[in-house]
Amino acid sequence: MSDAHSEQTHFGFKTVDKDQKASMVAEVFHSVAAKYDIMNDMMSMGIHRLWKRFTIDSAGARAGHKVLDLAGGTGDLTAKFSRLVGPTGQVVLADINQSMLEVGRDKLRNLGVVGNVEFVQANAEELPFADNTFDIITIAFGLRNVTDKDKALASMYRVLKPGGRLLVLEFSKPTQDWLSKVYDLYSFKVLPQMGKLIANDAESYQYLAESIRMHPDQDTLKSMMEAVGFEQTTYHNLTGGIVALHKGFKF
Amino acid sequence: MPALQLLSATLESAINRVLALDENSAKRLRPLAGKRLALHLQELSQPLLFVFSQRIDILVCDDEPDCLISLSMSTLPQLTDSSQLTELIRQQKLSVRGDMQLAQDISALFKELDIDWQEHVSRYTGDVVAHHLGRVVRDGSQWLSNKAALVKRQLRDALAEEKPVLVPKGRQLQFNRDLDALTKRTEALDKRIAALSSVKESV
Repeated sequence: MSDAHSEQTHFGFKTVDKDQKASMVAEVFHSVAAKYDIMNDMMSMGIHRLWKRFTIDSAGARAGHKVLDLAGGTGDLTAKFSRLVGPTGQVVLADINQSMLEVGRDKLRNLGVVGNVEFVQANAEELPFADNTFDIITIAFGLRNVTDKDKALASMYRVLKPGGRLLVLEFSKPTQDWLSKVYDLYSFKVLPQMGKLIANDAESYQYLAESIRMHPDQDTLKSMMEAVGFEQTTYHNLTGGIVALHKGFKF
Repeated sequence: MPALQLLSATLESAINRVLALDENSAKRLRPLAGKRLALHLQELSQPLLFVFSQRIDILVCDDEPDCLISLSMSTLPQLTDSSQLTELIRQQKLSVRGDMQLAQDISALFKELDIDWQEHVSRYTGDVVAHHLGRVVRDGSQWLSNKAALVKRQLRDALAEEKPVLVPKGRQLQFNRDLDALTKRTEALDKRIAALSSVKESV
């Protein structure tokens, strides 16, 4: 994989200089931020909401917990975590992209979620938090856009409290061949067309589809998590492996 | 597709929508904030955890709750009749563990719901339509309950008189009185026989 190379990395199927990827990803998300929620609903036929619910159900959030919703974008998980941890807890919504963060802030304000939520613009590779800060870290559909995934996972490990858990919700590899074929057809033919129609931006959605294919499969991601120190690492396939939830603990 | 999450999502949005129809719900939810009630339906692989805040979130998870209620789905409709609860617990169809008061408070939250349906319908249809609709529904339910009472009366009469399956109440009372009298006379006779036989033995 091009990640191993010191100067080059992948941007979808293209190979680009490492220092370019972040700004290119940023451009994609600046361009889709306003319609991100609608597009997610359209692209996944609403199922992304269930995948996110499954993630929250697995998080074990309790009153008083500190939660980091990394690459939290438009705040889907944050809204719920904010209620689960209550006034004695805290949720930090972090995203590298200012446009996404602003959409999230407006949305949460409209939902009446205030008080225990903090907004931080942060790079997952160098999280601006002290060691052992959080009880729970979630990153939903964010890890594949990070340039150096190993560095990001190590950074998450560092800011997690001992006993805390990391949940990575991300596209993965379908476990069935036929599903793979349907899924390929859908993401390379249908998806960019939908992106063109709804957000007038076929290229960004082309990138999304390609970046999904370049993302490590279930077992690779599991071993990447173990390599930076996570223990009791498991994953759970959702919707035939189109998406997987990885879970790991720090002890 | 995660099926239980589909269930919890549907249930959660339905419950919160119904609660939002009564403007007093927010006030009634406040003392419950931070509480967790788990509902374990025996047919489901995992319990549903109801977490209370300014609304209700439903999680599919087995984290420790303040109060755990387990029952089977077939028992669920019987919960609306609070006089049945002790009986259900005795029959082991329902078990409640932990904070009983919480279960009662939550049940009160839903019982006290006072929803002005006509008002809510009028937002979509305008006042006139809502008023007529309201009258149709009220008249309809009045008509239904009248009909139900009539059918019940006819059925009772038919059973009691046309076919002698049931007896009219008066005749049954008379029968009961006759039976009581007969029992008393039999007992008296019994005592007398006993007394006479003991006299005979002592002679």
